[in-house]
This record gives sequence, structure tokens and C-alpha cells, in this order.
Amino acid sequence: MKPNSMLQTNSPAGQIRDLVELYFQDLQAFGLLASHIRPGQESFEGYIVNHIANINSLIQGAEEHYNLTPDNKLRPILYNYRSWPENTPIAGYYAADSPIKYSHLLATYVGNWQNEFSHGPSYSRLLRAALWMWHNSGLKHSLNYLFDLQKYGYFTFSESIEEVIALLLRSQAPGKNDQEIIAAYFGDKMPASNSDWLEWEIKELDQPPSSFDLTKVQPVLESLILETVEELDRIRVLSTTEEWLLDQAAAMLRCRHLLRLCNRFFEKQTVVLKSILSQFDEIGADGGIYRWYQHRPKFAPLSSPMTMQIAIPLGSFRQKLGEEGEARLYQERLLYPSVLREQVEQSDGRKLPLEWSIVPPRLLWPFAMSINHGYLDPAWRTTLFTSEQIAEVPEVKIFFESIGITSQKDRIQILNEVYLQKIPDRWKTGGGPGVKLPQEDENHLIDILQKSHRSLCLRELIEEGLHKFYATSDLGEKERILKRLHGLYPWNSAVHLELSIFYDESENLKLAWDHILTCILLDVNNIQGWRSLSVILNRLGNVDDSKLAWAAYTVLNERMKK
Amino acid sequence: MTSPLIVSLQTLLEQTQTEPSQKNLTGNIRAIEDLFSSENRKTLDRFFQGAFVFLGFHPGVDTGVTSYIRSGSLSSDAGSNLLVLFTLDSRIPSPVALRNQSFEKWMIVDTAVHPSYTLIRSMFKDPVTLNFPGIIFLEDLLQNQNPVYVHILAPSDENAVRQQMRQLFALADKAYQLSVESQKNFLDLLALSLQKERIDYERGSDISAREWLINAFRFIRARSGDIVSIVNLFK
Repeated sequence: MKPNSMLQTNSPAGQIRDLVELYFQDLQAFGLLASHIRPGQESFEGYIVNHIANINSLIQGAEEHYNLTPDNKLRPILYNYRSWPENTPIAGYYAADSPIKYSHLLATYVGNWQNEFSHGPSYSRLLRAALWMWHNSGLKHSLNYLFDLQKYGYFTFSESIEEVIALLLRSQAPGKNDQEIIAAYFGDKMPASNSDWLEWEIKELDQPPSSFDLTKVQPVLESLILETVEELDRIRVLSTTEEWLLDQAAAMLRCRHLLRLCNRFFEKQTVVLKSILSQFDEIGADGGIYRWYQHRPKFAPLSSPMTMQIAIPLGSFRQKLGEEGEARLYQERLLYPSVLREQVEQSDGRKLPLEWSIVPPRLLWPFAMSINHGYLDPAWRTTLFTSEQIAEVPEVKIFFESIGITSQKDRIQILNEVYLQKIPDRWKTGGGPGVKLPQEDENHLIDILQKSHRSLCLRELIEEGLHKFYATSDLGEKERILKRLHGLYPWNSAVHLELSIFYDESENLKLAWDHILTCILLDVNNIQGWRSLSVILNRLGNVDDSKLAWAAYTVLNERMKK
Repeated sequence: MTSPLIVSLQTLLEQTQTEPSQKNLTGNIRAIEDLFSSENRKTLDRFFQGAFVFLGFHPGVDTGVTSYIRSGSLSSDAGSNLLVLFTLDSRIPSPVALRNQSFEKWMIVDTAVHPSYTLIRSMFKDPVTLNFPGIIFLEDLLQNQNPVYVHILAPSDENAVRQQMRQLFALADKAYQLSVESQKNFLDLLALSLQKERIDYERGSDISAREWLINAFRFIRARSGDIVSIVNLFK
């Protein structure tokens, strides 16, 4: 995973490849999060058509004219049947002189996901790749590779990873060596060339499951378990929001799989094994937080899972362990990274720095189209308005009049519960029941609030924000407005565009670069964004990439004029 | 071949004391005092059938002992009837592979006040006569008893340490088995067999193992350390 500052060390700072890498992080995120909450067909298509399709053309253009090649050696690779270079390994990890390009990998991602939508879990693709890895690097590396495929979002049916691992473990027949076992999948012949690997049919194994060699399985699972424990420690010290969100999501799945695999294979477990598996159980179960998003109203800010996950268990741990509570919670579970420990301790897990309390803007699309069930609002606000403010919106007033609620106090009380989602005061103080809406009216109010909230947001963002920004020439005022908008509307492409231009003009190229990348990730059709990207690339001294970005800008501009 | 892991005693105890159906928001987590409460007596008895050994040594000075532990044979030398505990320089919230664990932090501690020595001294009325490093034998973690302490003779020599440990563990193992068959007190039997072999030992005062262990945890934790054992992930 690349860190947030995308500047390469061995080439001029700022390249188109940085944008492409961010898109691949985006793809990774979609596949990985979709493994937690499967998107519907519509959300999936929305993600591909509105977000990925244009990048595909950019990548192909860059590969053709500018020799764009991938760089990230941590990234696992996987074949596809539509476009794969000849004589190239079908699996493994990206290597420096490989003919594999971004466009090949993109084809794999989209091909896999579409295949899953049409046919369900893709056991055969996984198995083929796993067997190749096993043959080339051994069983342990093959299983780690499968977990990496999951982490990098290549498959969205998490159970397929688990089933293939179980199958490989069960095929450890006593008295047979690795090569014999692998060859058995191909009718007792070992594929030789890359095209053999790609094309030979995989046969069902007819050996009964009970005849596998547990003494061979044990050391493999043991090292997977120990490596997972080390991985959890590694994740806890991550310090960027995107890395945290993704690696946490991957770890929850990995823990769940290992727990189930161990329970399948080991009936008798030592105390220490039970202790580790018990921890994996808790961490895996914490993945349930993603299911909460479907219950949240559309106007609610897109908060990060962390904001909902910490306070309650922290309270329980403190109750049981007193001062040691936070330390234990931090270590037992994977709920927040070490950089946030002080904040968590002091705020009882209720208040986090803004950056951590929201879904990172660079992951907006994959998160919204999977976990948030396809609903995405570029004008999402990081906090709600006050009940008093929303009560003033005409549609809201009309609604209350129509159901006969005239007292401002009653209206505010209802809005506190329905809009702000506060726990009713009467639950805490045992006071009078107050006003309660029948369900039908409440649903109606929620719809109205959605529209009202959004109209307030658009007014604040556009009229009071961007228009004022354009109208003033005072730099201090401009900066003040932008910072305010950034804090309230971090998922808005126009805000990032203006921030990028502002920093470019103030000669802070690093920040200008960061913001223009975010701008385009948030809206790949932001024409001015592409223009600015080209300008900034030029300023960074990267003339070729600047031309490429200008070409993209021109194409989009032409398309819009038609 | 399975990997030796360093595990906190607290982790081991927590794991044995809750039925899966009783899991709540905090899982199996318990404060040390709760783990040793009288309600948990039965589960503590279930935790480990055997005797306990506490190893007190200074990682920087008693280098032979440190190497012996690092070599990984400790848990198999001790056998299945003895659980060997020792103190470590850092908290071990989750099991750690032995190979990944260093003993560095306490290397700089002044010998006179090494935490593990203090813990052993606390079991004796007149601790001045004790020579360190050494190992102490306990028959269980709850009851009143008079522990048996044996000094480790050549603490800078890994092979000498290994030989002596194996000898002592073998005697303790026999004594334990005999105590189960004959219903006689394990520590008394151990003391007898040490006498027979002409091995010097000291007998501690009548201590409540439960109180000692709770205080030991508090003491060690206050110094950011832990009481740990070496166990294998698989039997």
C-alpha cells in the first residue's frame, strides 16, 4: 500500500502514475469492502460506469503513448481470459520487468467481479492461481497469496477464499509430495508452459476428505496464525486513514477465515490456541459494523466505522478492568490505531480528529457503492445542522403544520430525535412522553428532512461558499472560506479543485498536488480538474504527463460540448 | 515441530474460565483479582493439572539462563506436569513467537533490585540467605504452602543450566506423580528427593499462593512487565 504522499523517490515528483495507483487503491477498496457487504447489480454498475470507465481510457492512452507501467511490488497479480500478455505467469506478485500492465489488471478486476455477479463465487480461478503459486513457491506462500488477493479486492465472495484454502489443505494426502498433489488436479500431469497453466482443465479430486495428513496441515496453519498475529501488530501502528480502513477491513476477514479453518481442522485445541482464536473471533465479529450503514438516514454524514465502534466496548472494558481498560481494548481488538490512543482515552472513544471520523474522501466511491448500498452524495456535510436551523426550512414548517404540531418546543424535540438521532431525553430522565410521531409520519418527515438538509447544504456550499470565494479577491478571506468548506464538505470535488488551485497559486505544490488528485478521484468527469492536473504536472516539471492530462481534458471538454 | 510461544499467564487463565455461551462485549477479559476469586476456583483447578515453577533470573547477568530459554527446549524439558513461569520486560497482551521476543529492557536493571528476585524474596522470612538466580516450586496457584527454592549454580553457562534444569524438572515430575498416587504433599516429597540427591534447597514461609500471585502481577505490571509462560500452539 502506498502512503498518502504519492511522490516517487526515483522519478520527478508527481506523475500520472500516482493517480492511477490511487485508482487501483480505489479498486482494491471496492472489492475488499464488497466482501463485507455485497453490492447490488445497480451499485456495481454505477461504480464501474460512473467511476472506473473513464480511467480505463486514460490508462490505455498512457500505456500506448507514454509507456505507463505499474510499480508496486506488493501488489498480487492475477490472470484473466480477456487480455493477458503471452508467456506471463498467471499469478504471484508484480515484478519489475514484467509485461503486465495496469490495463491487464483492470481487466482482471472487472472480469472477476462480473463473473461473480453472473455465476457466483469463482472457485476455479482462485484454485488455478493457488496451484500455480503452490507449484512455484510452496503451500504456505500460496495461502498467503490467497489472503493477499482478498486484501487487494480481486474477489468479493470471501467464502471462496476460505473454501479454496480448505480444499488445498485437505488435499495433503499422506505419502504424496507437493508436486504429486498438484499434478493430481490436472489428471496427474504437471502443466509446463504458462499457456498450459492457463488452459488445462482442473479435475475434481476423487480422494475422500478424511484421508488427508493432519501433520502436514498443522505447521501450515500454525504459521498463518502467527503471521496474522504479527499482521495485527503491524496494522495497529499505521498512521494514514486510507491504509487503516483497508487493512482493518482485510484483517477482519482474515481472522474470521482462520478461526473457521482451525475449528474445522482441529477438534482439540490447546489453551493458547483457543486464546488466539478467541481474539480472532472478536476481531472478525467487529466487521459487523458495516451492516449498520443501511440503517442510517441519507442525510447522516458518512462517518468512519471507528466513530460507531469504540465507545461501547471501551465502556465495558473500563468497567471490568478500570484504568487498564483502554490498553486492553487497544490490544485485544483492532478498533483504532495507536496514533489515536490518547484521543480515545480522553474522549471515552466518542470524539476523534475530523480526518479519522469520516470515510476518507479518496475512498468515497468504493465505500459508498458497497457499504452504503450505492448511495453517494458529493455534497455530504460532515456534521448535521442544528434542529433550530432545519426547523426553519419551509418544507419542514409546512410538514409540521400539516400534522398539527405547532409548538416550536415540540418540533425541536421531534427533530432532535428524528434528525439528530439523539436519544430521547425522557429515556434518560423518565420525564413526560413528549410528542411521538406515528411511523408513517416519521417516514414522511425523514424524506422531507433529506431534501431540506440537502438544500441547506447546497446553499451553504455554493451560494455562501464557492460564490463568495469567487467574489472576493482578499487572499486571507479566500483561505478562510476554503478551509471552512473543506472541513464541512470534504467529499466535494469542486472544493478540492479550488484548494488545489489556491495552493498552486501560493506555490505550495505538494498540497496542490494532493488536492488535485483527490478532486479527480471524487469526480472523474471534473473537466476543470483535468485541466488543473495538467497545469500542476507542468509546474512539477513533468512535461509528458502534463500533455497526457491535457489530452484527457480536451477529450472530456469535447464530449461535453456535444 | 511446533513453535514455542510466550504467553501471559493472565491470557492462559482468562481462556480457561469462561464457557463460550457466556461471552459478552468484553469476551474473556478479566481483571487479575477476578481470575483468582473463589468463584473461579473450579476453573482454575481445571486450568492446569500439575505443579508450578517460577524462574527468577536477570537476563543481563544470568546469560546462560537467558540463552537456555531462548533455545526453546524449556517447555518440553519441563514436561506436561510442570508449568514454568518467569517474568519478562514487557507486557505480552497477545502470544508472541519466542524467536521474536527480546529480553533487552531489563538488561540494565541493577542486580540488587531485579523484579523477579524481589518476588522470590517475598516468599521468605529471611531472604538474605538466598542466592540468585534460582527456581521456586509451587504446588498450585491458590493455597497456602511452603515453596521450595533451588539456586541455579552456573548461570552463565547455558549447557550447565540446561543440565541442572532437566535434573530438577525430572525430580519434580517424579515427586508430582508420587504425590498424586500417594496423596502426600508434593512439596514435601520434592524436598525429600532433593535431600536424597544432596541438592541444596530452601523452604519458604507459609504463603498464600493466591495472594502472592496477585501481588506479583501488580508489582510486575507496575514496571510494565508481565508474568509469562512458554507454551506450544499445538500439542
